[in-house]
Amino acid sequence: MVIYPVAVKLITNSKVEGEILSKSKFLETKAQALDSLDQVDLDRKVNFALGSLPTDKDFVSAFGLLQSLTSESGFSTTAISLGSDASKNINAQSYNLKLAIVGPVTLLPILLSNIENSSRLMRVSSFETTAGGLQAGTISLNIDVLYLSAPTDFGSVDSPLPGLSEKDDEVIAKLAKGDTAASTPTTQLGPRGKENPFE
Amino acid sequence: MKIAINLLPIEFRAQQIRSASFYKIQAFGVTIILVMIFLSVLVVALRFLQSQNISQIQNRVSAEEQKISDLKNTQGSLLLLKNRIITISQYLGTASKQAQMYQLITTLLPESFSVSSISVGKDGEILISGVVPDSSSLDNVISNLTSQSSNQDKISQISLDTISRGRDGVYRLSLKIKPK
Repeated sequence: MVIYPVAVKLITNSKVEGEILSKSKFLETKAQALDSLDQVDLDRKVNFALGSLPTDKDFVSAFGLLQSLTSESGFSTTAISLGSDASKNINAQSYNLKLAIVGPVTLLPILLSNIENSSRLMRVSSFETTAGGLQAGTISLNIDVLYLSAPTDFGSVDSPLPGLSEKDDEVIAKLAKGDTAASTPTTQLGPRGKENPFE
Repeated sequence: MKIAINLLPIEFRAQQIRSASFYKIQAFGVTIILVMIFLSVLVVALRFLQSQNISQIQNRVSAEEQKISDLKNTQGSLLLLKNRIITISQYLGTASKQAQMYQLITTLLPESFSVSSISVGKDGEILISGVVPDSSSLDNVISNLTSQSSNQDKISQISLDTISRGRDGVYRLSLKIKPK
């Protein structure tokens, strides 16, 4: 009378025990993996990634970057404005910037490459040139500047931890390289106005 | 040779046989009860040990969960980083269709073709208008653009939207090039 229900409970509990044991091992491995990560290094990598693909529209920095990229490529900017419609991009949102520039059209491939290989993710959506060869033509470019909203789910305690592959590290290294190049100041602004306006 | 002689009366012998079989049944019953008691004790002991083991593992799980909760920021940063990298790696270092098509067309157009304007659309469609000095240059432009070996099989359709020949003998034309 006693043996049967206790034996049944024993068998059922052995299954439960196995499940809890595997959960414990998983959590132990996850905790060890999280503990082994260098928070400072991780924050640095996150900053590179957010610099490349921010969580929101960053008009001012995109304007600045586009202006420096066009001048680096041998063009001068005549106008930058916000576009209305952005192209649909895979896994990302974007806003459109219209860039009007003047310069040798022969250098346009360099500009296109500089824009699309910039550490800040941008895609050339469409463009128009009005003269070819070495002539200084006018070019108008529509550029999609990519951004991606922050994920809403940052994982639960028992959710699996994503690992960073070698490829991911390569991407981060590329971003770091681009970020260092982009962070080099091109123009130095002098002091503006009085230090104390009430003097 | 062993000789057994039983001189007991028959009734007494029958009673002795009955009691012997009763003792056998009794001994068997006692053994069964003892085995049952042994098994009960064993099962209960195992159940007790199992409960203890489960509670120990559960404590360990709670401790690990607490440890992971303390490292929630690290986990969040890692997930955010991975989320960005998946998208970044799709775009970083890869040229858009528009840029690729422009690069291709500029290499295909001969030097004699004087470009007036080039327009590249969102789907990579290109509209070129320009001037060529003679008919052989015009042939050259069209054969370069239409030849699969030179256009790297990246062009699906070329249409000559307008063409006119001026008094000076130059050809003014506009082409529409659709990518594959």
